[in-house]
Amino acid sequence: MVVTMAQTSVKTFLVVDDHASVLEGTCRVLQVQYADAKITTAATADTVEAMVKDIQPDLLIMDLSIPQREGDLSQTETGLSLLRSLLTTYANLNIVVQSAHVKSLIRLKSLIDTHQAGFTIADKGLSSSEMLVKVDWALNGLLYTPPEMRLGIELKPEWLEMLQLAFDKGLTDKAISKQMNVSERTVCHYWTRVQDALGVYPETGTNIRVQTYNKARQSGLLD
Amino acid sequence: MQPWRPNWQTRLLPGLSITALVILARLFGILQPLEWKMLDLSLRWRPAEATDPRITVIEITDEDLQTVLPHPPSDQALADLIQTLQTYAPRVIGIDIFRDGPVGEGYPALLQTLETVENTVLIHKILGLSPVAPLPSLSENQIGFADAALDSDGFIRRSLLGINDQDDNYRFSFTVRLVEKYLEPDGVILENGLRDPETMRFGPAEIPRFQENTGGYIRTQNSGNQTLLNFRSGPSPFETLTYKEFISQDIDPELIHNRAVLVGYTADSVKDFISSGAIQGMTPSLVPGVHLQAHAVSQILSAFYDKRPFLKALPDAFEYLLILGSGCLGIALVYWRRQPMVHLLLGVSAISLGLVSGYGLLVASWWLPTVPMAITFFLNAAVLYPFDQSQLQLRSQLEDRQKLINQTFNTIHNGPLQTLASMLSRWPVDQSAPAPMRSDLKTLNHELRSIYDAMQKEMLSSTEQLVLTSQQSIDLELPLNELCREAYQITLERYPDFFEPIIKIVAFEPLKDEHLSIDQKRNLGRFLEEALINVKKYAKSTTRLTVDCRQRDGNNVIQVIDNGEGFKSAPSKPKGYGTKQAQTLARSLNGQFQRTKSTPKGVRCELRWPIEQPAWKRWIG
Repeated sequence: MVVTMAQTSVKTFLVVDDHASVLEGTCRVLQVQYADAKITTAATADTVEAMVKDIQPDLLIMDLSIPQREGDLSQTETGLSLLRSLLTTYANLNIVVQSAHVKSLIRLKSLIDTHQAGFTIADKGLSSSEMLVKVDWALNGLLYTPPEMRLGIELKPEWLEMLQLAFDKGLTDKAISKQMNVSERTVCHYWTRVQDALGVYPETGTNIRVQTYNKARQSGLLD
Repeated sequence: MQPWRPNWQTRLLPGLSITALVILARLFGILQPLEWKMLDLSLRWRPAEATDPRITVIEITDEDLQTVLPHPPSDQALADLIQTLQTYAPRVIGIDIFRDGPVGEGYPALLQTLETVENTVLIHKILGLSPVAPLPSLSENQIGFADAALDSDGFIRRSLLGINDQDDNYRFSFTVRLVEKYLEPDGVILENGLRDPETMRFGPAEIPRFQENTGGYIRTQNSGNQTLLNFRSGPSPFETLTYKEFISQDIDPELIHNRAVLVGYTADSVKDFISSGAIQGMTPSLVPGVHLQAHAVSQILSAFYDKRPFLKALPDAFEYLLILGSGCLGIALVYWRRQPMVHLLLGVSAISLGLVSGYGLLVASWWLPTVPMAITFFLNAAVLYPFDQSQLQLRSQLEDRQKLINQTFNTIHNGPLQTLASMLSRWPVDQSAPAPMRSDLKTLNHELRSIYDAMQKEMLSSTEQLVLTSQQSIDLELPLNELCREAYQITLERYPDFFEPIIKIVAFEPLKDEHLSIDQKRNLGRFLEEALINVKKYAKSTTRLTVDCRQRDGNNVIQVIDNGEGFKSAPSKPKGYGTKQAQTLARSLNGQFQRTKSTPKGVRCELRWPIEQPAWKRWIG
């Protein structure tokens, strides 16, 4: 029920950056793409926490280097701990992280892996159209982490099990969920994680499951 | 990134240990001699009291023995002396001279005299190897023992009032007999105490009983009935006459009339002396026995007539609370963190104030543990201060560096980085601008950003970071699973050629790490690094690596499993340095370390430890 309502009603975005000019630029680009979206902004960790609780946005676009409160220094640590607390509290919040230090996000990887909603990471140097793609993926519940955050192929044990059930045994998501004793939604969630781990992302005109199968077989995940 | 702040345990522990050590030293009796000396000194420096109006001492000097008296004095001479004294009507006559049989002429006359002059008391000796019996015809209340209770340093500070003799008969001291006879005309008799039924009491004057741990004393023999000697201070506590002066008949009768008269030797040749550090004007510290008897009698009579207090000490528990309190005061002064000069000044004034009030209270007859209190305070204030100061300095240096780094990065972030970012984002994608320029800009962007990472690494203090073999460091304040994740990542990136083709099955789920010490976390990080490096070294042809950190059935479990060649190519010595370290770590966590064969091939390396740690480990950890 809640999901459909969120889709039909007006989307709310919360954009966080300690730099007014960057904030303005980001908002402008977003407004062009999502004409009827409601966009609010924040500049400190404290306000973000309050606003997320208050307005429950559909999407949070945040810079990692932000101050705790007005007048403090901007620190990556502040952004990281804010992100950590948001990831633990709001499982259904779609997040786009704009970061200069992609590597500092590695330690949050376990939390990111279990996050139910969309999560994408956009380097600050991306062009606006590339950035918009990351926003779109996040809104669609996808996971995107840059290749620097991993070395080769890294999977959680559950994801591997799902892959094998799907491609070796040819089971449907429903059958997999029964076999693994998890919800169907969790299986969908696993797919997004596996796709990110294999570096497979949606492209118009291709079948993502087939792409995933090809990539998994190539890398030796399937027998 | 918060600098390390010690919790209350680490702050209080050193100070409390010092205090406990002082208390222990006192319990072992190490401080007893110091406390005695302090007591002696304070007693000696008290303001002078008036000369006792109820006691006169007749001294037998060397000159007397050379001119007018034989030594020992004959029975006739003693009989004559007692008769003459009695003509002045004293309340009681105490002869502090041993006599157990006839000496010279006049034995019958002496017996006769003692029978008629009933207010005469003689001494005997009941303890030790050579007791001296009293004259056989004397009634019980005319004899009192003269044995003294000396401390282990040979000094006298106590008065023995009554004790069982070697035949187990309870005997009273010369002091008590004299007081008894003196108070007879007032109708006062010796009774048991009201507050403490085991002590002695004359009317309102209840004599506080000496216990084995009274005041600075530690496990002293308190047999019989004893009390501390509250010496009468001042250069002339009693009226004194030499024997010669007395028999010259030219004396003030008031010096004898209605008084307690004590007769005894002060002659050096007789050697009836006892050591005391508390009496003024006596040098060296040898005091004639008859004077000490006079002090002992005087403190009871003065208590009865003038309400002069006896020397008292606090109950043991209060004494130790005071010592603990002064220790806490010292700790408080240290953590008040004044400038060194101010600290020194405050410390010295606090100790002086303590000693002066200790003296003041002694004047009011309270013996406080000033020595252990001063020592505890001093040790805490002097030993902890430099440690705390150096730590403080270190911390402020770290904070300064952190600030500088943040400022530097902030400047870079707000200036050139923003310019770069906006340049890059405004660049139209479809516009095929000079390609090398774009990539150069991107490189510049990354280079600038990496400055912060490099500085951040520099700044972490050595106590709270894990420096891996690759010289990269991890903040140990991180949750354990995040710390493991970083250690994993850094180690893999060191050997990208080996690890990149391998399929990694990894899970870093939250672990229970609240009870882990910084050291244990550091060692856990090293353990994971070591396990991964072992895979690289020994697990040839590995295609799949599992690293699994999670909670299982009440345990924290870290597993590293490969599917390589396994034990075959493992080092010939199965218990290498790393294995030993892992086992030590497992022991410190109350857990287990295992390296086993994995099926179908490969090695499984596992460390597991229970989440619930024993309470005592938690506190110490």
